[in-house]
Formats: sequence, structure tokens, C-alpha cells
Amino acid sequence: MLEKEDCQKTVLRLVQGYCDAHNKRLQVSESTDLLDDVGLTSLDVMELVEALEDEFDIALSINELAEVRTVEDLTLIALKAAQ
Amino acid sequence: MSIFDKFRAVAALYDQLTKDGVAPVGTPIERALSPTSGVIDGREVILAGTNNYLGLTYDPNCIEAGQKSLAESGTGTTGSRLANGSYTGHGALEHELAEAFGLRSAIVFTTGYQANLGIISTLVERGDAIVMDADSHASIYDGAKMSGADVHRFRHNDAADLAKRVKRLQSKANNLLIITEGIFSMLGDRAPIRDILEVKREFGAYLMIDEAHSFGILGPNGLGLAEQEGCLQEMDFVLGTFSKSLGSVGGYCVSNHAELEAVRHSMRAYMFTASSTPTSIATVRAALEVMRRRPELRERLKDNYEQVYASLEKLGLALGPEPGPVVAARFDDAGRALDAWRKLLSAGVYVNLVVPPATPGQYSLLRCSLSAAHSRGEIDQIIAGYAQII
Repeated sequence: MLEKEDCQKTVLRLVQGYCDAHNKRLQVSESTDLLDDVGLTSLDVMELVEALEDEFDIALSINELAEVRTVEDLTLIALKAAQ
Repeated sequence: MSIFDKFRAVAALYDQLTKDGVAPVGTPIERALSPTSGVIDGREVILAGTNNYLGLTYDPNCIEAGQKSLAESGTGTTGSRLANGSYTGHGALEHELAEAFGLRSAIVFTTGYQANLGIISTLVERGDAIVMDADSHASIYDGAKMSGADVHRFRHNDAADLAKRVKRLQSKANNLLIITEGIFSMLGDRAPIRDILEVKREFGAYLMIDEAHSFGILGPNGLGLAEQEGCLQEMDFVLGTFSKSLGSVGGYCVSNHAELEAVRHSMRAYMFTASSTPTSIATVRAALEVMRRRPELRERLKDNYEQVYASLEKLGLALGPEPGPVVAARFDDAGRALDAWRKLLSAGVYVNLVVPPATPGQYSLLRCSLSAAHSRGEIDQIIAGYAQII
């Protein structure tokens, strides 16, 4: 079963990777806001979520994603989907 | 905090788009002159952004049928289909549609938007899952949201991505509904429907196709992409609209499932809205007959869109992936797209300007929709207009 710590690390790595790839100088943490701090567009979110889904072989719905603001929120829904 | 605060960004964008002349969004067409010409800002222009694919808005048979119905049946039904709004024409049109598609039954809706909203929001529920193309129309998104089912997107026109997602959901969802479109409204490209059908078969899902922009255009009888690809009978639900190729207003769903009648009596979006006016029904029935009798209209449309696509491609514009009745040119910068739209209008050509978030990506589009009624001269003028924006 997926542990919260592993899930956390993966989400942080993916979001940090996005920031680095888009030259956004930002140290990503659990409280980082994906929209306001990182500036993700809906297309970016889709790509990020797809990477996360592939990583854990899970399916995240739009309904769940609508509630996501922070890295921690994303970690929690990924964790829930994996259980 | 005001209830209107959330509209500030939209209001600012609208102000920016409209400050220097004719509004590119909600552009007032002061007078329509023919299926392909009208008056905008006091000048006669070619209409190349009206989805009037077969050019039937001024067809004499359709006008005559509409006038006769207006005189005989009045201006409206003043009620929903389940109350007092079912006239003989509504049922007759449903029968004619089912017969044309070779499917068991049909339901007619007042608009195409309402067809998607009603069917999708009613068919699936909490515990089910919808897997839909990411570039689906807003009415599909809205119907999915209203359904209570889990909603998932697959990458646009990517059947392998669809299969991956459906596989993950298979054991979790009670029912799986896959949704795609025949021709996509923004870029004019077509769904890989046979590949999607394979996914439906493999995982025992239901498959819905929205043929709004392909009905009247593709297939030996103009019934859409599923007919063209020879898999119409394997679609669970085929939806579409009367407001494009048929030049009227309304929507439909046809299906081989006997339960469609029970669905009809459960759809809130169908039960609690007024039915189509008798005039709309009469013009649609007449247009269906014209579509059946005049296959050459599809050929003419194809000639027109292939010529425009090839010419715009030669001009170096970034177009959608394949020729279709919608030829869309992409612009990374919304300001440049707006300038180009104004230049085209000055050249006497009206197309649609579409800006994010209405576009599939972060780009803007000049969306040209062709018609069988565009003359050779009008096609040349459209192409010449585009040459001026390069």
C-alpha cells in the first residue's frame, strides 16, 4: 500500500520538476498553492495529474481535482485513490 | 466582497476585446442576406463563421415548411414535452430520425446543449464513471458535472490514453461511459472512433458520440462520423444538433437501447423546459429531407473546405491537424489574433475569434466554418482575406 511519505515525496518531486522546467524559481513545499504560487494552467494541471496517475497507477477525477489547491491537497487525493 | 467580484477578469477581457471597434465576441449581425452573406458594422460581408455547413437557412423548402407551420400551429407550444408540448411533429421527427439512423428510437430536444446536458446527467450517477475526451464541448462537461458520476478526461483523440484510464477505473466504477465527438468544434479534427470502439468492447463500457459538427457532413447519408466509419450500430448513444447543418435549432439523441424511453421520462433538463416550436420542428423535418435528397451538398462543402485548408496551409498558418468544415488558425498571442480578426473583417470576411479558456490550449483561434453554399468567388475572397493577415 502507498505510504503518505512516499506519496508526498513524489508529488513534491513532480511539482518541483514542473517549476524547474518552466524557470519558476520556487522551493516547493506541502503548502505551496498550485495556482497562485506555481501558476499552473488547466492544461498544466492535466499533465501534472497524468504524471501522478502513471506513477501510482491511479485515476483521479475532475470532481476531486476541483478541490485541490495545494501540494498537500494533491497528495491526499492521490493517497485516497491508491487505497 | 461582492457577488460580482469573480466576473472582473471576464469583464476586463471583454472590455479589452471590444474597445477598438466591432465586438469579436457576440458580433452583431445586423442583417442576414443569404446563408453566406450578411451585414456587420454597416457593411456587407461573407459569413464564414456561422456553422451553416449545408447552407440550408434560406432553403425554399425549409422556409415554406416553417411558414406553413407557423400559420397552422402558432408561435410556440407553451409547455414541456411531458406536459402540453408534444405535438404530432415532435413525434414524427423522432420517428424519422430513428429511421434515418437505423436505430430503435430517438428523442428530440429544444437545443443541442440541452441534449447533452439531459442525456449525460441522467444516464450515469454516483458510483459510475465518465471518461471523456479532454477537448469535449462545454455541454458535455456540464452534463458530466451534473450527473454525480466521477468524471475523467483522456488526452484528446488518444485511444491508448483512454484505454489506460478505463482499465484503472474498471474495477471501481459500476458503469463506464466513454464520450467523444465526431468532428471537434474548435480544430475541426475527427475522433479515432474505431480505436475508441475497441476500448469500449474490451472493457464493456458504454459509448456516446456527439455528432454536432459531423451530422450532415460525414457518411454516405450524412449521419456523421460513426456512419462514415461503419460503426453506427455499435454506438450506444448518438447525439447531435439541428442548429448547424440543418440550419434550425434543437438537438437529438438516437439509440438502440429500448430503455431510452425510460430515460426520456427521467431527464430533468427535458422535463422542465419548453419543447421546440412547431416552426423549428417543421424546418428540421424539411431540412432532413433536403439532406437526404441532395448528397451533392456534402461534396460541395468538402470541395470548399479542402480548398480553404490547402490555401491557408500554403500561407503558412498553423492549422488543425486535418481538413474539415471547421478550419482553425492558431495564434499564440491573443492580441495578434484579434488584429487578424479585424483585418479579415475589413477584407469583408467574418470568422470567429476564440480566445482561452474557450480554446483547447493556451492559444487563440481564428475559426472559419465553411458552407456548401459558399460560391467559388466567396471562397477566393475568404482565402484572399487570410493572405492579408500574414
